[in-house]
Amino acid sequence: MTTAISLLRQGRRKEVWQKYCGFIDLGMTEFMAIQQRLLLEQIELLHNSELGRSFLGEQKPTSIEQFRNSVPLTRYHDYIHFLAEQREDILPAKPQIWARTSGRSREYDYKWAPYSKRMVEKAGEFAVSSFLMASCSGRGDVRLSSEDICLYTLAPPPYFTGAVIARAVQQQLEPMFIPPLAKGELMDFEERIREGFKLALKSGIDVFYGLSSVLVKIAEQFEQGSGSRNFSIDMLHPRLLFRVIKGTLKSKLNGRNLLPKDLWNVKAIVAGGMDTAFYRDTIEAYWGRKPLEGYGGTEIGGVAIQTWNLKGMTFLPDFNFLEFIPEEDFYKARDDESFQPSTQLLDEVQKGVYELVITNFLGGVFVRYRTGDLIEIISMEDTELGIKTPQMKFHARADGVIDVAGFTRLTEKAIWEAIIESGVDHVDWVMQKAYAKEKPYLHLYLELNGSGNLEETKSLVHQSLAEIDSGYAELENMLGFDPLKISLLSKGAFARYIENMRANGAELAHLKPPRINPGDEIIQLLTSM
Amino acid sequence: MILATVLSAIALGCYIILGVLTIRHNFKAQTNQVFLLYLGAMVFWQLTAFMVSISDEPSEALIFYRLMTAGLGGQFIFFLFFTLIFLGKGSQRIFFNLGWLIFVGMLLSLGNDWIISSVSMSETTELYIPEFGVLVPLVGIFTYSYLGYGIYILARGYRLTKSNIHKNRIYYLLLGAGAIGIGSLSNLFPVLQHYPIDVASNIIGALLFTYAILRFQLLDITVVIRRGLLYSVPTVLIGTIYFLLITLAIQIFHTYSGTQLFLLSFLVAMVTAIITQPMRDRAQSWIDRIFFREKYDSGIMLQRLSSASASILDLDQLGNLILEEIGTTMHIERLAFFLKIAGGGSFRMITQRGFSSSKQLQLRENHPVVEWLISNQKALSKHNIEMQPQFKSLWGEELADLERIGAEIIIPLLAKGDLMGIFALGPKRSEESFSQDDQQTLLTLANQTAVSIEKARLYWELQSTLKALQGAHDDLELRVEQRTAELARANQALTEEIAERKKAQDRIRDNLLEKEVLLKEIHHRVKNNLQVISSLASLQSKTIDDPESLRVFRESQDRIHSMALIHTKLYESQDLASIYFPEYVQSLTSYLHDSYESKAQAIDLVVETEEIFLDIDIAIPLGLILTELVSNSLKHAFPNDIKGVVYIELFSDEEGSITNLVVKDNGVGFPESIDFYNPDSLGLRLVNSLVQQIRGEIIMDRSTGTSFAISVAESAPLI
Repeated sequence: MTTAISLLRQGRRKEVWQKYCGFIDLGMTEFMAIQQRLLLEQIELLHNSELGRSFLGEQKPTSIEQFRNSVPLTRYHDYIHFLAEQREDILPAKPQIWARTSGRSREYDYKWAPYSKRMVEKAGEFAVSSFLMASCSGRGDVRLSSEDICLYTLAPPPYFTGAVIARAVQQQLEPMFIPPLAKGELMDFEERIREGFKLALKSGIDVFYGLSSVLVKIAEQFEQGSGSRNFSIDMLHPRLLFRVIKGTLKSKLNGRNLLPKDLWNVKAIVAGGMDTAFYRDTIEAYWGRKPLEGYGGTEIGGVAIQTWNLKGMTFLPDFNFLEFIPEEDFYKARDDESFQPSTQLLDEVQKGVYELVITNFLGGVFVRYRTGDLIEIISMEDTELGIKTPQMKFHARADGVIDVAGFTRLTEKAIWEAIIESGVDHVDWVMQKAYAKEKPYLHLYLELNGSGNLEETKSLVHQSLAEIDSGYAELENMLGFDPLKISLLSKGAFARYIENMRANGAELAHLKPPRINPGDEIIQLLTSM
Repeated sequence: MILATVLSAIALGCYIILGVLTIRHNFKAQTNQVFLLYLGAMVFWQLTAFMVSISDEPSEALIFYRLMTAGLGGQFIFFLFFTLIFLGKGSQRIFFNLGWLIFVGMLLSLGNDWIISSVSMSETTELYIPEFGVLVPLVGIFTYSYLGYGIYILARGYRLTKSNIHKNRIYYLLLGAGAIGIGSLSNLFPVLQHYPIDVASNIIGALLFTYAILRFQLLDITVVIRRGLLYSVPTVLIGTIYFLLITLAIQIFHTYSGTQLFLLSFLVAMVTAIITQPMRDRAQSWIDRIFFREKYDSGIMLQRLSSASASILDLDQLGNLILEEIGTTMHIERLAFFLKIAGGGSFRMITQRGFSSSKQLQLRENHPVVEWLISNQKALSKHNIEMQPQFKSLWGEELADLERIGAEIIIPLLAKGDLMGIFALGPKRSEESFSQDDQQTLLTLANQTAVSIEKARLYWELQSTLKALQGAHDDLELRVEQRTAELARANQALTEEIAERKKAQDRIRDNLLEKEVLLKEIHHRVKNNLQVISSLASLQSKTIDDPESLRVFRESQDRIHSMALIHTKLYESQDLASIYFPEYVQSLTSYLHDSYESKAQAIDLVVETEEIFLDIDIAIPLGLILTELVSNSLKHAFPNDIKGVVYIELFSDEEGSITNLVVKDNGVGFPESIDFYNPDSLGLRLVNSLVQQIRGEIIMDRSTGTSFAISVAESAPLI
């Protein structure tokens, strides 16, 4: 396997681009040809495994059509008894890494996903593609170097990002991770971030790979001048001193507080999480560069990434076989469990919202797996960059949609956008669908970043929601009831909640409450704090 | 002085040539651009050195010396730029910024004596020697730091890289930069300043860079030296010799004879031409061998293959020959040859060298490599497979197969535009990549051998078909042979079985005969016993006076006789299971008629029978019935000695399944007072009972005399 680092060390930048970003130049026919061929390989692998045969049946499909017609759509609970014990003998390919993510309370604690050697390599390619796209300004512009420094703030192993992505990046690019991977994995999340930024003051940061919220939080601490100012001997390091002096001068010249962009010249920011889209401008203001969004996950590996114009995301042809359940069928299936939704292939989709269904390639285990993610096809191609395949953006988690009286479907993203647009200075929020006299309404629990008037806050959020979502705007007029109620949480409620969860040994992914329909217990906990 | 001029001119020429090579090949590549920047500085340095060497005045030399410092310092800075980009460390922007700053600083200092304050001429070598200004230590530290760092990261890159080719490229860069660096240090030592050591080391550096380009494609530059250009060198040399020889001959002749002879020059020219022609050919051959060794070898290989392949019809032999030739000529260890499977689109490996493979390698019809070769019809490199997105659809197994072969380059074998075979070639032992020339040679080889391979393939197919036919024939022969042997065995077994059966039959027949004799003996003895009983009854009856008792005895005797008669008939007959009933009826009725002699003289007995054989189980009861009925008629039908006839008929129905016995008389008729079906007399009860026993029917008719008709099914089971 030729790695990115070996090509970079030979100065083969053109080849680096072609290998890792060449997929954006594929036409639809070429894209589908890759999909078809790799699916047939995967069917072969599945057919030779106990797990695979349980989904395929004894009859091996020989075409995409046969596969779609004969193999049922699956969900994670179909895999629990296969994966919980991590038995390797029943899998389509020998796993190199077992990655996990949090599961559903009372059903399964974790979702496990085995990654074959080829999948890990592909995950590495996905990460390098993201870094290249995030750092470039046009086609073929390779700005990565063989000695880049990567500040990595995602979850540690056995979570997907730590177990698979970090190792795969190490394999492909051999960047200097700060803190070093082995050391960082032993630290808790906050400590790792603190240590990472501390080291970054000396070494600099070339690539940031992590959560957008971390970038914003760090930057806000800078802006407020609340970063640690405790003197230590390390601060006398010449490179650190030089960086701080240069940054301070820069900020003074601009007449403002010191910001991260004064200290670091980050060449690529690759961020995960739904908040990336909202924080894009904020991050640019703080860090001098907009973050690039990628779409992937534990069960699905890598699915799509943005290109350098930071608009739609382009699908990867060789990680998963992609199918799409139209929005209408998705909701129909949600309401009626007996309904079998139809799927469309990438060359069949039109603009609109779909639930993504994937089948892992390269010996993965998930077969016609309903991801529960709603994505939106925003255009059939990117004419600006000459990309000939459909462009997508993340729409919502299937369970992150609040359906109000069947009149409007508000996603977490839409609510978030509305709160930000309203200008209400807040720490965090959760929203629950509640009922009063059998009438549904939205109950927003909001922690403000200071004092605030409830009525005024409600008015602002209501107005913003109405502007963003026309269905919501018409709710009051059409149905004759006030669809929004806001409760202001006490200051520090979310921080205390997280502390409480951490003290109770909660998993990293469960530290923060789910924003949509979090459940009465969580609401009670938040309101009591 | 002259030496310095010549050396600087040579160095200048070397760096200009390097610059032209770099510009001509992929000028857009950032690495090449930065290398050009470096070469620009080197050209500038050599140019100014040359200008210094030909300067007439120290003031003139001073100007060029000061300009030279910009080239010298600049090349160190740009060398680091180049190494940073070359090794993919472009992010270290501080070195670029600082480097440019130093370079601009150096340019600004050219107008004064900060770096070079004055110049004087060396008395020993007549070279201009510079006097350094105050800034020299500072500039020296910066510029040599750049060179040092450049050498350091090259050395690190050398250690980290896993590619041997890249290692070699770095190695020669290191040597070149080292030579230039060491040479330039000579300017700092007054003793060494008198000699053009720096310029000489620059030439060494340029030659090392050139070697890296020619041998290891540094910066991916592939140089094609035109053969005609090199051929012209010996031609010019020989022409010069030719001219000199003629001039010398004419001059010698003129010196000694004092005359000039045109014929002599003509003769000398002729002789020289004859002598120099083979020299020129030999020289060109040497040029081929020295400068175009691989091409020369390839050419020879193509010639050999062209002549050898035409006469080979064995596909394996041909494939092996081609792989052997390519492997030996191009120093390739692993090679494989795939051939299109007849009637399909996939390709099967028919021969290989240099690797072990337990499985039969095959490239499917929709294999991305096959599809690419069909649509592009040119060589495909491993590099392309790794980089181009359409090859993302390769299966893991297919990648592993390519890895097993170590396929560095894949050559299509085309016949009339159709892909009919594939050569997969592993890396060269030298680890050099396949040049354009190599690819061209291999494509030519593929084209030249395509016809032979196609011919061999057809021959192979024919042979395969023949082989298959021969195989089928042999198989058939074998099967026939096996079948014949089986049949012979079966025949033998059958014969043995027949003999065995015959023996068994003989045994059975003997047993049967024995049993028949035994049975006859039994029947005989039964008959004798019955006759003894009858005789005893007869003897006994003689002591009886009572007529009724006598009658009973008499009747019993008749019954015993009827039964004894059956056994007599049985042991007399061939068939011991059944008796010829008409004969029996005749004998029995005659006996009865005789036994009732006194009464029967007026009674006629008419017996009409068909040819009927009856089983013993039916014959005995039916004989007893006949005895009773005939006896009755003889006794009672014709009282007072009236004449009459007793008829006995025996016949079968049409199907022969029912036997009918009719006993009738034209006598006085059966008394009305006697209920035939429920009689008091033993005889009639016996008749009814026996009819039931044989599941027969009996019908009595009193209309004319008395008639009894008994019918019985031959197969009726006995009760």
